[in-house]
Amino acid sequence: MADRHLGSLVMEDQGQGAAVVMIHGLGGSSNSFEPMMEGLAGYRVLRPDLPGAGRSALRPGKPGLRGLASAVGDALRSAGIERAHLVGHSMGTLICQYLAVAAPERVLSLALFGPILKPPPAAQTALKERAQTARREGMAGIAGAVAGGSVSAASRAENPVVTAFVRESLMRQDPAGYAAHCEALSEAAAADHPAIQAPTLLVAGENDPVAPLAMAQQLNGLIAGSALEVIPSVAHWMMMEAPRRSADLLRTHLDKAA
Amino acid sequence: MKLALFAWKNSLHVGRVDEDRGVVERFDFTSEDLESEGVAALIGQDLPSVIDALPLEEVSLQAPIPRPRRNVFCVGKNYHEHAQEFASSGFDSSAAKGAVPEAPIVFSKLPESVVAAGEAIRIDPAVSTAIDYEAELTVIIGKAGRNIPAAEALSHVWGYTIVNDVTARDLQGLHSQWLIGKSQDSFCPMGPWVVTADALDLSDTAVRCWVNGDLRQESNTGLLIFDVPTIIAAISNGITLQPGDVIATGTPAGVGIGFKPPKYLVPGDRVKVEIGGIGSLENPVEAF
Repeated sequence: MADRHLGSLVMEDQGQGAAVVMIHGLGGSSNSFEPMMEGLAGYRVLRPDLPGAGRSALRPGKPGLRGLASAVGDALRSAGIERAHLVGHSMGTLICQYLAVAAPERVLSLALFGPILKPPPAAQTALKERAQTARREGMAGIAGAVAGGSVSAASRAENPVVTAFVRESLMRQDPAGYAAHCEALSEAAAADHPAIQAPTLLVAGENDPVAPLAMAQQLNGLIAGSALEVIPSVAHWMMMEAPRRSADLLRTHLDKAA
Repeated sequence: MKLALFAWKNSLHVGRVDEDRGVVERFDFTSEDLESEGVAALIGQDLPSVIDALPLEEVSLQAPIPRPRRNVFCVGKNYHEHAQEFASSGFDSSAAKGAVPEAPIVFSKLPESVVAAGEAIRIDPAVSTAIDYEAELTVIIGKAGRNIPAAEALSHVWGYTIVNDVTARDLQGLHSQWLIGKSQDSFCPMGPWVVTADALDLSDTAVRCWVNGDLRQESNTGLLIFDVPTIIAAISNGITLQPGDVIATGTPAGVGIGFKPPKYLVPGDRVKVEIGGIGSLENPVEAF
């Protein structure tokens, strides 16, 4: 495994084979996908930390989701990646959709966990407020609230480590970077779905309050030929809440698309 | 400091040009607005760190502000000799008020008329048969302001670039107002980059323009009728100027209409505008 650096952007580069690029969500990092890594033997897996998240510093400028998407595109070019399977979680699924629209010839397939169509109006307001809270108070309070609100009751009861992981992932974020991502997501537009040609897998949590099942079903109708898998009893962090099932679904999808 | 917007490997970036080394230093910078704002996305930001240095010949320079947020402000008849040559051309709908205006004549060009250095100025003979060049020092506003006093105006300037204020003279005359003749698609070549405000001496900066190597315009920004502070004061008089606003300050004598017979642009021509301390902006002329 190696870290790649493009300016302040850090991207993990692991394994050999067809490229799989994994793009984390709001408050996530390359570690959001760590539970699925063992299931990806035989692939070259690239996991960027988006500018402002994880180990990648927030750069000057108002990034916006399209700016984050172009940062990922630049990182892949510098790593010599011509074509790749794209895997996203939450906010990262919108970035995947943008990339698939912008350069369909470079995208082998899409796998979208907790997929986002675009934030509904109530969420847009909440995200803007959360950006202010992050800047004012830091991440601790937000980390507790997100961990408490986006992991299912069943997961909390059976596997409290998930809640701890989510809380830790949020708590270690740079508040300014997290705030910038909240604002980017709140202003994000839906992708031009008819332009998405790549084979697409949508993975929804049955009890996801952040990216509700209904949103995944809507995307399922908008992205031609997409497949929807629903994981029962989990919420928004299905990679941790149901790691085996998530990894199996991804592996099957990748092997089929390859 | 020279700041450029450029495409490299199908992706847009901003960076700092170092002509001596022949490179552009790519900034560690992320913005979703580069396609429209270009280098203006840097206004108000800390100077980003540098990722790497790319050879200038490997990048494709874009107009520094490809789609200004609103129309490009322009100043007409702002050098004495040009004011005379234009007033006597027969196309000057403001000629009755005298060759030299009492207050700046301000008109605008549509944001969509902007093209980069090297991009074609497109001529459609069905629309106009009298297309002219105009070399102009151009101001980029960095700090918002309304009713800006001339004495403070330069503190609102972020940088300077070059605009070729291409003009369809017949349409400029026909419609009295200049918007249509000035805003034809591709009629606002801009570039090759922006120099920051500290890099230019407004009292002594050469402005030159060549068509096919033939020197047509040669003047100096020290000879402006209304200098940059006066222009900013005039435009901001009741209009709030915004960061990223673009103001072309007018052209000196030597435009095509000033010759007898006039020397209009035709397909195949190459127009080069050079402003000391900034660089040169060269565009081919092609049939639409």
